[in-house]
Amino acid sequence: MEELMDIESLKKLTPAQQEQVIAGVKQQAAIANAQNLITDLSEKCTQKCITSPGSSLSNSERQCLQRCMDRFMESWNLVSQTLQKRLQDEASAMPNFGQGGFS
Amino acid sequence: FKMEGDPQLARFLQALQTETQRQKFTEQVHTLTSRCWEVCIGDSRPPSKLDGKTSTCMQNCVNRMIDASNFMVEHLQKMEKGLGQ
Repeated sequence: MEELMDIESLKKLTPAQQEQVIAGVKQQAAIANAQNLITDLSEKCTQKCITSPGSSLSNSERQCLQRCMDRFMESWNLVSQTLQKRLQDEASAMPNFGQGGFS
Repeated sequence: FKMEGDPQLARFLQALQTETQRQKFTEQVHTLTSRCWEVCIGDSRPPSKLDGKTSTCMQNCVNRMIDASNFMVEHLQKMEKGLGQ
């Protein structure tokens, strides 16, 4: 996104181009998120579920993977809610609360 | 850099900033979910549902990770101050 940060270039965009930029940023974010999810899911769930690999994927392995993915997505949603609440609590406690960010 | 004459530009920059913040938030969720999964579910088989105990663990984990991060940043700042003198 570095090339977008040049204010002079941004000023020259038409409203239609501005919309495209926003749409592009959103799409890139969506792709990055999907990739992160797939990477995490693969790592966590194959680690748990493929412990004695046979000559094909067994039913129990499939069930384990399914379960794992469902639980992981539920966890993801719970973490999202919890983080949101935490940020809201901090913002209302300190009106000048900055970006913070967790690394 | 003058913005008064251009509310359209102001809206656009605001929208860009909102998207950036949103993405930052989502990245935090990824990091926290990954770590707290290890902490709260760890090596055991994935459960058939997220029970109360695991749920509580997840929520605590998120908050403690943030507390820990804030604490470490504060401490780092103190360390840097000490070095600067």
